[in-house]
Amino acid sequence: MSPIQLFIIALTLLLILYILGNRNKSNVRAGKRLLLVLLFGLIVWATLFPQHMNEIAKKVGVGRGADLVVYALAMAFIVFALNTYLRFHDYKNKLYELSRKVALLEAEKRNGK
Amino acid sequence: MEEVYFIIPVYNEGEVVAGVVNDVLKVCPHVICVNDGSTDNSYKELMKTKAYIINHPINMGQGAALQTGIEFARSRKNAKYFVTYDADGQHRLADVQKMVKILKKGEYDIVLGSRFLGSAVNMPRIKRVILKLAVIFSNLTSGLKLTDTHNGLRAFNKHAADSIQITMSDMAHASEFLDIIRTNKLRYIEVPVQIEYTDYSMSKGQSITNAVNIVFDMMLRKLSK
Repeated sequence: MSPIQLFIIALTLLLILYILGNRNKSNVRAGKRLLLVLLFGLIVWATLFPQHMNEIAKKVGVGRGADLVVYALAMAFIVFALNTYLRFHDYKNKLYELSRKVALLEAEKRNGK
Repeated sequence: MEEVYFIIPVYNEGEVVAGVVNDVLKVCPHVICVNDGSTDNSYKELMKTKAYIINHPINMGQGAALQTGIEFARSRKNAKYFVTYDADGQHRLADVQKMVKILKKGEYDIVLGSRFLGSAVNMPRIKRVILKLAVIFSNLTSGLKLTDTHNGLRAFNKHAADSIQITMSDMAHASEFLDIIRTNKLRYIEVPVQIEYTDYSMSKGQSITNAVNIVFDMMLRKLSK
């Protein structure tokens, strides 16, 4: 395994763990937005100067520049998927709490406290 | 059994639920049925009985239904002991009476039923394998030593009821129960119970693929604490 492969895998894992452990904190939200902007910048850069990607890729040893871009996209996708999953999870919990309150209120009205 | 409250989650059990509830009512006057958004005639059937009925406006899963039932039960003035019981008739009241008797001695906060200490009638072999795996997994993640971690039959006292906060809405709540026992240092004991697998209860049971979902959700919850 080349150092860059290790680096990318480790970074993805760390990112996932960090998001899991610190969700709902504003600096995590800011971090995610920052990543998005960075990714956007990277895509623009890679579109305008594909040869730059090739050079960087050669330096870090992942073959073609396109591979590098694919890695970045895959990482972004994993973070996005996890983020969406967690958000739905939180919404579900809130919905359930609300439903429980409704159910209990209605039952207490029917049965007396 | 005046101070005992039965909590029965009900989801599409219209065929049998009235019979099960009426049997329980013969020995215990307080039965709380949480109708978890059933789409069949469960609610109509429940209305024929004298049980307390709580209606979830949407289907939220067995864990969520148990939590709702426990919250309702622990707010009742004379509630001292709580029993979680399945709606499909696979548990035996004789076992419950045995478990409540143990609770009343006050040495334990929670009494768990175990079909592997006791007997499981007509249990399919694949179900046995999956359950055994679930036991190994749950013991590893919870740090308790139990022989049956996914048994719906439990009896506990007010102290335990007050510490229960189930957040895993689906079947993963069984493992969460064990976490609650450990973190609150509840005194627990397992007793043998008999579970009878009928054609009806088997058609309702947990699908095996669900084990994957449970493990995934458990892991995610552990990581995101």
